[in-house]
Amino acid sequence: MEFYISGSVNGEAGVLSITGRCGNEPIRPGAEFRAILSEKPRQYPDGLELPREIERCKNIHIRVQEVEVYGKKVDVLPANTTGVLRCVDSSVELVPGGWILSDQCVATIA
Amino acid sequence: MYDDRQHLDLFLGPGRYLFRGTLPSSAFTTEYLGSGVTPTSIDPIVATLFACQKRMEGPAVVLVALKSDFSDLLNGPSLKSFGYELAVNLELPPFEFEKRCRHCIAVNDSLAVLGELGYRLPSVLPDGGALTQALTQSPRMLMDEIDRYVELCQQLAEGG
Repeated sequence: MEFYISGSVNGEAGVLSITGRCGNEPIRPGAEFRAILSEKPRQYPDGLELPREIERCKNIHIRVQEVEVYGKKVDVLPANTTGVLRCVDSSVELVPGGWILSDQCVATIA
Repeated sequence: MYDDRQHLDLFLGPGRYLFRGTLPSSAFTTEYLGSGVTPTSIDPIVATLFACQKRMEGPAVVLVALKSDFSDLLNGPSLKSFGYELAVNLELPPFEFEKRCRHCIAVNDSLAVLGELGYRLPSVLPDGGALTQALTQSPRMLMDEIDRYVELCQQLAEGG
């Protein structure tokens, strides 16, 4: 489970709103992210055809409380769809655009 | 967080077409979980890049539709941070959108036509990070080039 972050806002009542695009697996309320990772940039256009390399990975904890698509609350954020995750129990105040939320840390490049 | 105006401006603005890069409905192996909204773009480069990611899962295509066929179905809004996708979201599920499209272009044909028009894109995008980077770094087309793109795609489909 992954979520490609475009931005985040820390709002009232400790709710962290994260905008971005869902990865290949749908995301539902209750889902928990345990890592945040960044990729090594690839050269446009041909380098983008290569597999990604993870540059950094940090352990965090974020729980998804609500999912929003096209301005409406929904039961599931389908794979590859843009949306907003309303999150609670977050171990971080904000998450940076360009990073990826994941359910687990992965090996980084040396 | 949302842009309440962009999708409307794009739909009502210049250009006759909407584009969507996806798999044909018949190629999806999982149940449709979406909210009944179909995201499209007014730019075929955006749609082709989505198709370049979708080809990791199957025979990806670029669907070409006429805006005028969807006048009553405009939905929205899009997230501000994805403004570069030039998205127009329509209030109907993707399989209905597909039925109402005018052309269905194989991703390789779309890439070839864009190449002929001077746009070289990555031919495959293996993950979401590559897609995001391609979407943010690729150029957008001029309106007359988009008309030419559709014309050339039509010629390809007719075997010309």
